Amino acid sequence: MLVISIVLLLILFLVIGMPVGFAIGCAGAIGLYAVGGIPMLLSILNTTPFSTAAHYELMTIPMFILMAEFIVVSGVADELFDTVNAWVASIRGGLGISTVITGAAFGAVCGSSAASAATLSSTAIPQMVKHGYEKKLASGLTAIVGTLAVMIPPSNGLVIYGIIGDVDLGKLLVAGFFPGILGALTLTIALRYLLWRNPARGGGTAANRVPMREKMRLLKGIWPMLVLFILVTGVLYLGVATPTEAASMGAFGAFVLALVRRKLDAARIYRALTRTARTSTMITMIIIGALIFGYFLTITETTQNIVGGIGALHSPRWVILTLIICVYIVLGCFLDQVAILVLTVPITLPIITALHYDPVWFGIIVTLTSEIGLVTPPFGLNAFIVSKTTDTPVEQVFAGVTPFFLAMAVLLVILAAFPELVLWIPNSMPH
Amino acid sequence: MQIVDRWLCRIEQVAMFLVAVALFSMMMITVVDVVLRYAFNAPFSWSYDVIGNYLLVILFFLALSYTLREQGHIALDLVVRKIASVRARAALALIGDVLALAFFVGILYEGAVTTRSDWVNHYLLPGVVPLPTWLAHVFVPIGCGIIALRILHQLLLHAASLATGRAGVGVFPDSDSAAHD
Repeated sequence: MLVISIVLLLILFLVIGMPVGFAIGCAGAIGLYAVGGIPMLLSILNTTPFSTAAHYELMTIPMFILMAEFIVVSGVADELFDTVNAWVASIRGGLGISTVITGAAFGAVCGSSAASAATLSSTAIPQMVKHGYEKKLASGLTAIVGTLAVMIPPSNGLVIYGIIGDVDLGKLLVAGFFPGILGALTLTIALRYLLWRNPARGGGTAANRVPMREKMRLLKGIWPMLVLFILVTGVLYLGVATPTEAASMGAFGAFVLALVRRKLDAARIYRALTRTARTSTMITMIIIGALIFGYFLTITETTQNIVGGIGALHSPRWVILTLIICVYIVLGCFLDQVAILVLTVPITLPIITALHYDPVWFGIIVTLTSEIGLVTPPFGLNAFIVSKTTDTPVEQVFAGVTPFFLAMAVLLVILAAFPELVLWIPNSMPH
Repeated sequence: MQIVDRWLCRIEQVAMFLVAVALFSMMMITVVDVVLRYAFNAPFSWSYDVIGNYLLVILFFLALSYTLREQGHIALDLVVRKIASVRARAALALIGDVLALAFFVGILYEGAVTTRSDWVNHYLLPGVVPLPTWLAHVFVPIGCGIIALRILHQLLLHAASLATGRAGVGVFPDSDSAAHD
């Protein structure tokens, strides 16, 4: 009864517009007070905020964000779309396919789906619309392509999952690579299908064939992105540096890149640093709030009861897995990804491991559901970003996303059914 | 009230300068550390302790208030924005202010108690370099103190808005900046 009241209180706090981290923390604090009075509440407030902020591995998060900030400032991704497009321009639906590949490549050096969606909205959508793509299709595609950055390393969602669930961060990040590529492939197939079903929706190519020499020249402009990718994901795969170190080197690499391209002055560096601090503080605040709430769930034995209750069901394990995935998709429609991870992973991961599923694979599955949550109504953040940057009504973006959303759901089923597709790369890591 | 806001902004500015230095330092320390380890087989002995206990603590606690001011703490304001009555919105915002204020004052109090006991007992980190622990814990009450003042300022604006029925400048979250990256 107490737990239900506190959960309702949490929903109320969120609805009245309290910042997510504050709302979860306050609801959890009230719950702790109800259970153990002031002494219990104060002892949690004493340890949790400091020990969370001081958690060394959490440094990976600001480093990945800083890397994204410097990449955006460097402008290296600005030419990415044109370069990709020069190579695939002659294929039917080339501009749409370029959008997908650009999104995946951007995701390989930048973990922010919001930055990816915003960059693509201002470059890819105008080009697609200019060449006869239906605006609904173009904006829907761009919104979901932005989410590829969530899965392809660097990925802060995977970092948070790894820290909360105590799963090997290096393996998790490396594991995100292949499913991210499969995501890009899925979106390409879905796009080709839509254009084949109804050619009126677009598919025109951008320009005439680009000469080979021009293609090579464009390719030269983006080689730094390849270096950055190797600096982070390659280093993680080989295990020569910890995830924290790989992330710092990625941030430093992006910093040097922006410096060499003469895009940095003191003011811009300072701006990148403060913007990073802002986002990373917001994330840490949500983690702290959710951990406080988590203590409340543990002390009231809610966590143990849920885990035990599901264990006592004796249903086939795929039924339980399906249920858990459905819960994640529903939560993703309403709640922030960080909050979902910190609140649920302590409950779901013990169930998953008890069912003999792989924790790395489960991290990828959860991350895929959070990708989907970024484009589903009512709070799909990426849909809102595309809507705002392109002046398209958000309902239209949601409508345009629907077929791609269904395609990603199919991918989710495939990855859930065949864990080998996720695990073959991390299992081949030298360490 | 504007004078209060200006002073708070100045304090936040100083805090953010320290945050930027901390953030840049942790990147550089880690990179140099990796280079030293591979090139000279002689990494820093102190980087883990300094980054974890000091730089990351500065990053979070000193950026708290600035992040609130810049509306960086994401919130679901879709429902609240639909409410037309200024008084109703102010009342809801006040509830949030009071709760958040109590929350951060609680953390501030505990942080101050810990810092004091560290100071009095001369506690040192168990690491290779014996650094004082109070120097890490002290950022908890400082950071929470700044954000508590920021929330108090916000609370007074909301209260004024509730009393007068007028929305003052900066009283409600500006929906345009709600999207985060």
